[in-house]
Amino acid sequence: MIGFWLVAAALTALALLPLLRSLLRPAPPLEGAAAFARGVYAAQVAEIDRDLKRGLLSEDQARAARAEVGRRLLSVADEATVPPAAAAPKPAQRTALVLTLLLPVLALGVYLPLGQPNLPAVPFATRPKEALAPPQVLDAVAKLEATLQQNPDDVGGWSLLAQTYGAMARPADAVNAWRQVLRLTPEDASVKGALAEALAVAADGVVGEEAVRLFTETVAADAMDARARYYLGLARLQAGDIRGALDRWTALVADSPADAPWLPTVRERIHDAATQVGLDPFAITPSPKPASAPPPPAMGQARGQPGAAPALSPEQMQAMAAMSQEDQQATINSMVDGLQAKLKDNPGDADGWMRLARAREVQGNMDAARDALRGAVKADPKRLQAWLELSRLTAPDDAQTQGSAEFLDAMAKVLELAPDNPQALYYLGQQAANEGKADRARELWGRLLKQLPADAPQRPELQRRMDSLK
Amino acid sequence: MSAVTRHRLLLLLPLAVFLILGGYFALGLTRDPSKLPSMLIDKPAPSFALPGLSEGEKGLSNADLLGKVQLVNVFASWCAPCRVEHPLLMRLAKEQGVTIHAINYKDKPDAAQAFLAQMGNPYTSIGADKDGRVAIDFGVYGVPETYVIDKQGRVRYRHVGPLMPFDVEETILPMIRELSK
Repeated sequence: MIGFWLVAAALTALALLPLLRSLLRPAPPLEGAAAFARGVYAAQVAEIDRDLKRGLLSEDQARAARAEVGRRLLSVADEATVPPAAAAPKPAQRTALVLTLLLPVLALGVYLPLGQPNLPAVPFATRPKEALAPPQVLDAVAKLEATLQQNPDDVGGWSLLAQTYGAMARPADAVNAWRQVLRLTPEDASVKGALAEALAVAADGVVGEEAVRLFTETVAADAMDARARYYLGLARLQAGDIRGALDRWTALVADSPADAPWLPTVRERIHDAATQVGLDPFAITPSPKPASAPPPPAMGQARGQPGAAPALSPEQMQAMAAMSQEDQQATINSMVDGLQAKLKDNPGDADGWMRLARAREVQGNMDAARDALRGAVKADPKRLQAWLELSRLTAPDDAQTQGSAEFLDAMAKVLELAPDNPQALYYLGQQAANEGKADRARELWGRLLKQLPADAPQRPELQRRMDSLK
Repeated sequence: MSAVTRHRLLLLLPLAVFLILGGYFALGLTRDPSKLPSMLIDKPAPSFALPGLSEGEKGLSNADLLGKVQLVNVFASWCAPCRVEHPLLMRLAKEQGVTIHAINYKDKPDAAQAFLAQMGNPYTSIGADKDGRVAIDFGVYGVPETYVIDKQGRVRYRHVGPLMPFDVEETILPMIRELSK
C-alpha cells in the first residue's frame, strides 16, 4: 500500500513539475529587452550602409534613415533607465503555491471515492425477471398457484404446475413444484426422476449431486428407468469419467428395445464420448440398429448371432481404453477383418454384411464398404436399408449428374421397395428424361412434387425441368 | 550541432516512434493471447482471512494453504460455467482425494448454500469474499478460476475459466502428483 502512495506522489510531482517550472521562471529582465532593441537598430544601421553601397539609397535618404533609427534608439535607452515595474514575478509564485496544494487535493478528492475495490458494479441494464408467456397461461398458472396455497396437499395440482413451469422454461420454479410433489409422494420413483431432471435443467444441464442421488434412487426402484440411467451416464461424463459414462450408456442401449425413442440420443452421446477417448463407437455400441434388428430385441441378443458385430464386453472395452491409439486401431482393424473372413464362409448373413459396411465406412475404406453392401443386397435383395446405403455410397457428386449404372440400379430397387422415396423418384426421373422418356419422367417427378412441401426450395427448379420435358 | 540539423533530426522522430511501436507489436504477435499467466506464479498466495458463508462457520485464510498441495477454486452461484466444472471438482475431491478450498466471489450466502446443496460441496473450506477484495489480490480475471497451491503455500498454476476433463487429466492431476513428491 505504501508503495502505491509513493508512486502516486511521484506521479503528481511529475505532473506539477512543468507547470511550476514555467510559473516560477523569473520574468526576462527588461534591460535585456533594451539590449535586444539596440541590436535590432544596429542591424538596421548596418543595412542602411549596405543599401547605400549598392546604390539603393541616396546619401540624403541614408542620412534621414540613420537619424530616424537614432531617434528610436534614444527612446529605447530612455525606457531602459526607467526602473522595472515591481509587479512581475509575485502573482506567478502565488499561483504556483496554490496549484501545488490544490492539484494533489483534487486528485485525492477524485480517487478516494472512486478508487476502491468494493464499489458496487454498474451494469448497463438489469435482465427481465422472467420469460414472457401468453396471458392465458399466466392467468391459469396464477389460479393454480392460488388453489395450491389453499390446498397445499393436492398432488395432481403440484404435478401439473411443475410440468407447466417446465414448459414455460422456468426451471427453478419447476424444481420447487416437483419438491412439493415428492413431499406428498415420497416413494414415487418417477417423481424423483422428474425432480432430478428439473434440477439438471435448472443447472443448465449439469447433473449435480442432488440430482445424481435422486436418479440413483430412481434406478434402485426401477432398473429400467431410461431417463435416470441416461442422466447418470451424463453425470459421469460431466465429472470427467468418460469411460464410466460409456459403460452406463452402452448398458442402457443393450437393455433398450430397438425402437426406443431415446436410442438415437444415447447413440449420439456414445458416439461423441467414444470419439473423445479414441474408441470406435460402432465397435462398443452393443445392440444392432433398429432397421436390422428383429422387432422385439432383448439384452445381448446381438452377441449370439452368427457374424455379429464386433461388440465388446466392458472388460474388453477397458482393455482397449488402456491401449495406445495405434494399438486400438490395430485391434479394431483385426476385428473388422475377422468379420469379413466369417462372412466369406457365410455369405447369406445380410446383417453381418451391413455391419461390415458400416465398419469399413468408419475406417474410411469406401470401396470395401461398397463391396460389403453388394454382399448385403445379394444376401437379402428385399432389404431396403442395404439398397439405400448402396445408393448413398454410389451417388454422383451433384444432383445434375446422371450417376453410374449401379447407382441407378440401386435407386430402382429402392423405388420398388419404397415407392415414395424422394431420392429415387428424382434420380430415376432424371434418367428417364435423359433417355427421352418424357412420360415416365413426368410421372416420377409428378409423384415427387406431390411429396414436397409447398415451400420446398427445390420446387421451382423441378417444376421448370418438368415443363421443359417434350 | 546547429539548430538546422537538430530540426532535421526531429523529422525522424515519427519514424523512430513507429519503429519502436512496431517492434512491440511484432513481439506481441508471437505470444499466445489465450494464456493469462498470473503475476503470482511461484510467489506466496496473498495474505487474507475470509469469513465463512454463515455466522460461526469456518472461513478461509492463507494459513490454510500451507502444508500440502491443494487447489483454490473461485466460484459463485450466479456463474454458469462454475456449474459446468462443478461435477469435475466433486470427482476430484470425493474420488481422487484432492483438497479444494473455495473463494465464494461476490455472492449472497444463501444463494451459495443453495448452490452447494444442489450441486454438492467439494470444498474443504469456503471463504466468503463478498466485495471481491481477496479476488483482486489473487488477480482473479473472471469466475471460475482455479489455482494450484504447493506445500509452501505458493501459487504454482492458475487456470482461467471452467476446468474441462482434459485440463484435469493433462495438467492439474499430474501437477498435484509432481508437487506432492
